[in-house]
Amino acid sequence: MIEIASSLVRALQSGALYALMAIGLTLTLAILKIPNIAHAEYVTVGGYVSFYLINFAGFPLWQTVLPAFIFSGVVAVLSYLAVFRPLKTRKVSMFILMVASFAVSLIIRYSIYTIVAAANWGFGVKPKVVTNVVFRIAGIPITDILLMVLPITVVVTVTLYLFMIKTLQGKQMRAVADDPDLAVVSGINVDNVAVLTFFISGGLAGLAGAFWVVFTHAHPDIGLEALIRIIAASALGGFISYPGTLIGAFIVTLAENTVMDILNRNFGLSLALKPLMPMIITIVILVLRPAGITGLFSRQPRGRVAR
Amino acid sequence: MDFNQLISIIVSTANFYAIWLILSLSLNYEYGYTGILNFGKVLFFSLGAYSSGFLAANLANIMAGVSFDICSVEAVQLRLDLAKAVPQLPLLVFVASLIMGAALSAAVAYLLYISTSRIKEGFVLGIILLSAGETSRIVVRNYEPVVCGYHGLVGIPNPYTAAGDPTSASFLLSITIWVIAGVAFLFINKLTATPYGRKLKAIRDNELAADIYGKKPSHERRKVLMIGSAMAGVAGVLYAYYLGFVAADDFTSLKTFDIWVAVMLGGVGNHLGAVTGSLVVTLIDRGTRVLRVFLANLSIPLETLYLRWIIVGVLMLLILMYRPAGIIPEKSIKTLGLLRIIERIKREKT
Repeated sequence: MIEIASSLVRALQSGALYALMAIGLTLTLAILKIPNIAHAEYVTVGGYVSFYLINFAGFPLWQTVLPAFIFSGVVAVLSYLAVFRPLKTRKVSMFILMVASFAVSLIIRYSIYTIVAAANWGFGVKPKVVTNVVFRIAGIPITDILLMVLPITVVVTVTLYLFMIKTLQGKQMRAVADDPDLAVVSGINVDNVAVLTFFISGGLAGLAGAFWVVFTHAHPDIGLEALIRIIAASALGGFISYPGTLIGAFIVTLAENTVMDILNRNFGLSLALKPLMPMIITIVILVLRPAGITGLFSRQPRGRVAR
Repeated sequence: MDFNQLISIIVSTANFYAIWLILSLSLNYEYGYTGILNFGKVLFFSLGAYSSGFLAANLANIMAGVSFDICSVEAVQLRLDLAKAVPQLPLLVFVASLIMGAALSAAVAYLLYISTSRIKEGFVLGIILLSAGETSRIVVRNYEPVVCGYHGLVGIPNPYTAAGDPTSASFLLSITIWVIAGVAFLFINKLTATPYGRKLKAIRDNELAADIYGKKPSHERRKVLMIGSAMAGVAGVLYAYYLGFVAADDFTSLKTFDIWVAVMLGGVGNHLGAVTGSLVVTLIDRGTRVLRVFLANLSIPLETLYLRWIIVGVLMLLILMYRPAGIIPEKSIKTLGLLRIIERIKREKT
């Protein structure tokens, strides 16, 4: 019982990180209509910023969060300015944007490979972070990283939600998501909105990456490994819904960790099949509820972003 | 570099080119003709490779009536011994793998297509295919029973063991690969030079109009995806037999990207484009590997394998921005009716 409970706690903390990663993908997709595969690489960028600061500059983990956020956000904005904006002004289709984002993801990933190989940091090195068990609730260990991850995730998601519904910029973003042409007519600078969206989504991915690298190891492929969960979480939100993505991330991690743990314990299913779970969930959701899980609660055929 | 080495480099480049050509033709058929965003090409490619590895390993066990672990050294030895003892067997297994690879790929394509068929946006299918490709790679890498997980499955026997010496056997295999690539080229060419090909282009250009004319876009796309995936499965079987080795980490989404570069570079919706593009991509791929060995001999610390992907990515972006039509742009189709109309207009002018 304790194993299952502690696996639930672990699912909670990785679910929070996947939620942060997936929100960015949903935001760019819902607001700018860019299926940005390169989003996974922003996670890697954030992870490496955190890894570098911890291992080579002696920073504690919590201080690396802000630099990772800013650095990944800047990389995301640069990828928008260099690639997606020129393509958007050429009025290319969404397919071409996706192909371009594929290219961007390769360029970023292999630039990281080159840098890591040149600087001789080594592949798959663990960051020097010591995880302490702060206290136990009924025998379930609660680590200090969990106590850091959860509040930051909650604060960030609530702030982003308030930002989307209260501030002018947030309203502009939602307006662009609803109808870009109408937004332009209403005097909204769509370009600024796009830059802001990319900064936020890239920054969130980087923030998640800063923690993610502690759970796994520093390798240029960590973003790629997370991509299938990000996509599954986003698909559960119908690729457009903010709360749907949040819930989706937790469902995916729960199914991947806790459910597979139980199946492994009771039915002897190999744990190597774990990554199949996000895929199965995605396909089941797409067959049953193409609009995502939030579509369960609304009568509209499609939900909308940040509602 | 002596003469034999040069010959072997040329032959292996030609083999890889033939395999890449089959993949590019199938992607061109899917994306260039029908507008399916197939980002999971490597999934179907890998399914062909896995099925040939799986069949070769397990059939050898069944034939010999033993139950070795397929990854063990004994099992590898058994496969090679059995191929020597019964020289016709590997050819049969090869043909069976071709059929199984094609069928399995088509079946998975069907399942993935119908799972997203309720969604109008085409990019969702692309994302799902991409995700499926990565998922299958990670699962197969960690799950031993398919192709031995991380270490990969070695000792897939050459199908032409009956020919005697290894050189002529591998030469026969190369000829088989080229013949299959040629057949794939002719097949796709004939298939799309018909009213059917024009129907596919109509679906790509304007789905609503095609639907109104009764062309069933969703149905046609599903068929195209299945045929294209079956071709990719065949390519995967050839790849596995050519290398004699299958490992999951060979099938990352980088392979998909290579094929996309081939199609976009050569020219979308035009088979000569796929032929040219895959030639360029094969030359880049083989060239960087040769260059790497060359640089290592000169002890220059430049990792061309990483640089190669950055170059290919930038190349792709440049194509998308400055030459979206590719090297050989798509030409409008000249049907007999169209030619007749053009002739009449010319006659009326004079």
